[in-house]
Amino acid sequence: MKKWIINTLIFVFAAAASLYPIPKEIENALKLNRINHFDEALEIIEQALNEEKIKPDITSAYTTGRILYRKGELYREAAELNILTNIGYLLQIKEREKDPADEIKLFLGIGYFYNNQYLEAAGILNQVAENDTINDELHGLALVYLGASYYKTGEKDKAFNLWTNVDKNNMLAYSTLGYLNAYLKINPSEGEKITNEILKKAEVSKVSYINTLRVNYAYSLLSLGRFNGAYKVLSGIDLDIPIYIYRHDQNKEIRFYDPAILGSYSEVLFGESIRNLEPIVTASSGELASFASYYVAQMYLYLENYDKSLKYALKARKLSVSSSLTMIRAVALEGSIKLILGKERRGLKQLSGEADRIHGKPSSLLEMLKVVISSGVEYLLVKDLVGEIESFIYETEWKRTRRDTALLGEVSFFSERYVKALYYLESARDKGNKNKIETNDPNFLLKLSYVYYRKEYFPESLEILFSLGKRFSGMRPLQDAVQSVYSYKQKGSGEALIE
Amino acid sequence: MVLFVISGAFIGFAQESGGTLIYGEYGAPIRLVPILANDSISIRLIELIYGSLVYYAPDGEIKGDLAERWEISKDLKTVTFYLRENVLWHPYPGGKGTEVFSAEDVIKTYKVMMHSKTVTSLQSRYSFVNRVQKVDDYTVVFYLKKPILNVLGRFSFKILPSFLLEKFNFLRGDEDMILYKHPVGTGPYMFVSREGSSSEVILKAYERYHLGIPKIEKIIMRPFADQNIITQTLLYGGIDLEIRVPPRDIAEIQGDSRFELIPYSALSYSFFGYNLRNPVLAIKEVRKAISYAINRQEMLGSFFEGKGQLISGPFAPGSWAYNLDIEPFPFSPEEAGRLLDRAGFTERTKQGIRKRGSYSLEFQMVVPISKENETTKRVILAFQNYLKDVGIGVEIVWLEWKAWTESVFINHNFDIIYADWLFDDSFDISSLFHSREIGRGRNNFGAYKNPEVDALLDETRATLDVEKKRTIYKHLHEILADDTPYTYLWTLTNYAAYNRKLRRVDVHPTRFFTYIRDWYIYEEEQK
Amino acid sequence: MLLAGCTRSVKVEGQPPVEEEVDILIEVEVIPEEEIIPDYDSIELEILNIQLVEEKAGSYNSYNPQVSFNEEYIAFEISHEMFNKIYIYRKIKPASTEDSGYTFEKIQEVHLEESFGGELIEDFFESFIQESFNYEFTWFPKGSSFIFTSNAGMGEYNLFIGSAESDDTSFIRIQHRLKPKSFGSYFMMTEDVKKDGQARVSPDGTRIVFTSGRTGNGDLYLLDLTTGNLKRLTHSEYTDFFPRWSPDGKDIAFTTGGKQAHDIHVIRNVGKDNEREEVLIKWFFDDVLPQYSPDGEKISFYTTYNEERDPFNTKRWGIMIIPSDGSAPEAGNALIEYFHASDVIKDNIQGTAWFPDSTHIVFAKNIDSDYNPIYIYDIETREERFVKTDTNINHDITVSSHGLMSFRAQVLGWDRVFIASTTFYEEYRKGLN
Repeated sequence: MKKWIINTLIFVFAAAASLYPIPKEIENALKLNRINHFDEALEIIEQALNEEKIKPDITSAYTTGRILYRKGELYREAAELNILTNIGYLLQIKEREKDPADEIKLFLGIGYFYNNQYLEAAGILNQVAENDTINDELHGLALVYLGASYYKTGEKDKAFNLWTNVDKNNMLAYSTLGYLNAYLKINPSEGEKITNEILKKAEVSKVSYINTLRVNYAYSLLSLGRFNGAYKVLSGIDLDIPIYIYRHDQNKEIRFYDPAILGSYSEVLFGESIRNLEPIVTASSGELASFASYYVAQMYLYLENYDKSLKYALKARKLSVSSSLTMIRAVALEGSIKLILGKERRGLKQLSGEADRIHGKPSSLLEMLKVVISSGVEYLLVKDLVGEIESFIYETEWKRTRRDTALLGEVSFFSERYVKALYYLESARDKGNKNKIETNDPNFLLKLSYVYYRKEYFPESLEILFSLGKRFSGMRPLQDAVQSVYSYKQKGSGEALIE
Repeated sequence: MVLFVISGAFIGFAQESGGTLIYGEYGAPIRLVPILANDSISIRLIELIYGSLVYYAPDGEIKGDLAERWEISKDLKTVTFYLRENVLWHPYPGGKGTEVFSAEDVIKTYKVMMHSKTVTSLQSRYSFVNRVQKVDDYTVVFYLKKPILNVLGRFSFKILPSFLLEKFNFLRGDEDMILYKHPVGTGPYMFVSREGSSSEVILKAYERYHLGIPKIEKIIMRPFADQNIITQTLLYGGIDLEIRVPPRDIAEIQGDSRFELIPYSALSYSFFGYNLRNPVLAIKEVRKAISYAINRQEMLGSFFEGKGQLISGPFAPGSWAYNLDIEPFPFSPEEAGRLLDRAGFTERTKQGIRKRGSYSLEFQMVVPISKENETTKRVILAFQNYLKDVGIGVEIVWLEWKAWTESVFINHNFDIIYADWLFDDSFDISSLFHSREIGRGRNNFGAYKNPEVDALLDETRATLDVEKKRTIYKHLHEILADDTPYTYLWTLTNYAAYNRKLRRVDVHPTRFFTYIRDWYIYEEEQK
Repeated sequence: MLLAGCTRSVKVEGQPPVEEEVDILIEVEVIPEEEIIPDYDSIELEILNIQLVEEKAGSYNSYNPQVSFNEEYIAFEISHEMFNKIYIYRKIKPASTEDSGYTFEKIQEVHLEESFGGELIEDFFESFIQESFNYEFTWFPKGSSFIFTSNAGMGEYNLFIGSAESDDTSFIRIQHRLKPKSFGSYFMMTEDVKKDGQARVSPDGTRIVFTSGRTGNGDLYLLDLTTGNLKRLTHSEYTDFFPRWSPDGKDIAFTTGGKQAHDIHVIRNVGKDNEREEVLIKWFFDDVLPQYSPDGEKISFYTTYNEERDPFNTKRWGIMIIPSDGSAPEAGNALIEYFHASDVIKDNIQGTAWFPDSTHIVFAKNIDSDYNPIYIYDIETREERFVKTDTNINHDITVSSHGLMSFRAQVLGWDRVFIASTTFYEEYRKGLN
């Protein structure tokens, strides 16, 4: 009811804002972005630029950057969830079979690696390395990741030892070694050299893992700051292709997906987005610059470049009004970085301080927490703060928007309260169009699908993924994993009824 | 099973007892007696009044209702149920409410259910049972003919009171039995009244319910003769829950923030099925041409407001067996024409129907008359029109449900049908497509026969390796998509809607009220 | 430099409100014209010239055509995956009376919502779309004003008025008198969290009856458009809805639903001191959607009466017609003689379609082997005859006050609106020239 007042005010602002004309193509792209058709939106802008219907200016750069940011966040989420579902799936197989195949152990080990479980990874990959049952390419891959696991647990000598034994003619393993050179920040230029070489070699022959090679190369470019180059390498890539199909006999097939691909893809998207948005921070002023600054800060954090992230976060703070959301988010980002870098006390202080400053505004508090969660801060570090905020929010009565409800779901999920998470996320869904990505943010749908998977409501989870998979490539690894876990856990007794 | 929870007890309110839940159904219950009831309205009420040995909890675990615990022998051929003691049957006029549930009730119910003269189709569902034995008042043993995977889930039939069935060995539905007028069960709600077939059914919470007294004190089922009136009554507050919202009303209800929609997708899908005994339909190109000729996306969007997903094979998208690599046939009348040309149907009758020699592409489609008449008619009208465009003629024959099942499953007197299959988690399609399931009363009504499919289905039955099963199912999906014994249409999402004063609403996709005990109404809003 | 903050602009289609001097308007108040009513008895009722109002192509369904009193406009609801709007078309008269085909031109899209997209700096975080649902449209008896139900994307249904012409006098008068809140060019007439809908304007255009959920179970309310006064009309614990005015503006017939099947009641002398509620029908069959005949003497309604005495045999609705003065019995065997047509398609809002002669009605028949064919029925001879329309799955058949028929039917998978001229309407048009 009070909305009409807001509407009138908005009308005034809009009237003024409309003084700045936006080209029709950009408008269409923004509309497509609003209904989450990212690829279509990006295509429109690209085409318009190619045909010189629009100029490469702040407007087009900002729009492109924003859309890439959203797309990147979707794939970042998909990457995380993919690793979790894949581990779940492979563990199922491993536990079921008396003597699981080495392929299973290999990919489980790789999954552990990307889930920061380096000791487990090393343990299981060691078994694979010592055996001789799998093919040479995969064996080489095992060595590479085993080395990486050692590297991460501090046993760098062991790592280098293993790596020198990797056959340079083993394209898959060697390219992955190059990738890890960049990923582990050992020697990105060497990484670029290796991955480039292998990719060229592989383009002549047809290998099933060509996507892995492409992504490896792109990632190495990214780590050298060649954002646009990286983005171009991955244009049009099909993320649903398995890296290896294990065939026991004609009737048993297991598809393995490279767990690194989705994460690397999301980072390449972030890189390209940063390339578009960074100049805007200096080239413009006011709200646009502050937004751009914040996005860039967030993305540099995703790319683990904490210095630059901090730099832009501070900039965002300077450029934004203290009452604005950008300010809150920028501060939250700063606090999160401090926590990630180990400066726990300072980080917490900053976050609590911000929470106090915006005390009384549940929506703002939720937005703040969202930033903390997205930044990858460990739950245990902020447990108390989150708990305080949650209690406050539950006791407060306010008219929740769909976004607020979705954020509540995310916060509940973060604090491992899955029943609540399910409740809130489900409430935030557009029930009438329940799986449609046009009216439900795909990132949010993905999270909901994962919560359903955790709670073992598999058909719901699969339906969401089915719908996402129709529009976004890269959902297949998750779908495969969830389908498989479901097939293990199903309790049906074979009934079929006609109606 | 697909289940999900919407619970709301987090805001610190105690879960409140009391209040009345009024819900609206499209139609009136036909018979409130388990075993005989096969309409969903009766089945929903029966879910409230009667109990069974076991039930599925929301997380998929089997829980004991009238059975406290159970044992399954190692060879999977013997199931022993240890029944709950001190469970009382509901009181009824002439009874005191002191009758105790015992093994006799289970035995008697089973015997009546399986009697060949009892008018029910449940006999075939329990044909895997060899015999049942009462060990003592609280122990019952089922001996099975062969081992069944996840057999516990099958024992979901409702138990009737033996003391009211006394002289009856079978049920036809016309007996003079108090159970027909006044249901007596062991469920969370007991029957209070129903004045005549046109009025409300009133139920009251049973205070001595063995799994805990339900929170909502009274439940009233109100029959309606029109679906939109149910929606309007819901919106104006006359009822609190609508079981099945017609597609167009979904957006209307969603537009009112006082109400909550519950989507529930059963693991089912709709299809057009073909009788391969017809030599023309036995030609694969003809069946495929039909699939190409129809615009399924348009039908789904127009008649069901897009509330569903198109499928490419004999599985729902929410199933673990769905092969994601297989896309549904696109809408292409040109391709349909090409296929029919290739099959030799290049001549035309005067009416424009394609033919080849003495064979013409004219088929008879049999459809059951049901309450959902209108949407069915629309789909069929569209189907006829699409096929007319490519030179195929379809004549429609409307039959009562019983006559329809006979036509399709017994006499095989049809060419095409439009129906739905509903599965459980196992998605076991062997009874649908295995050649040994061709015959009177069996599920392979179309006489589809493919030795490769047979072999694969046999292997899924034989193996315990789940990855193998999944791979085989994917392969089956591929073959069955190409062979087109059905044209696979869509999986629909059903919606219920309720007033948000109801809390902790949790819905079972096929039984609906299984978790009614936990629902409650905000105190301020209780009527 | 771009502005900060939320810049979600309200883009509402339709004409902006026009400020006019009220006093001048009152002076220029039009004296009601004498309507020339054709002699229907001498005309054979025939349906002529069925034509589509809108294009065939488009992935949306159209519902509930409503023709304005002078047949100048036709409005109907559009249901699309993403929205539910109302379109208003103007009927363009053909050049001569010989050529009876019309063309239609869309003049307004009634759609209240906040629109999104197209701004560079939007809400920072991509928020979720809030659709608006717009329906239950009906015209004022004179002029081009209309009233409809909408939730304006806000989650509660209320009544809104609008106008097809910017200079519609009654519309402007209501604005000035009642000063309702505006939403672009539409004005909100009721404001309650619970649904207010199913509005009907009195024949003299001064009052609105509508159904409201604010009492908790659905009751009728009267809104006076001159004073803004709101009065509750029904007080039962049952749901009272689907109200209809009698043509003389004195009574309101409505449907009431209770523990058993729905019944028909009427409120006599609405708004007067001797206002009272009367039961017209009360038996165990379901009776809904009463509709007055144009001469006000009869009330028709849908009933589930059937010979097998099964009130919820939901496949079968029929039409019953009783005298509006309440002289027919409420129930019992004697009521059965008022039963006229069986196996009729019951529509959501429209009710029975009466022709202006108060002797003929038209409906779609529910025949299993057919697709809702259209039939005309003569209530005096009790004869029905099939009308060949070459359309299928016909619904929402209405007849305007001068005999122009409209309905919707399935075309290539989607529902579209049609109009059909009739001999009555052609006669009326002849009289205009």
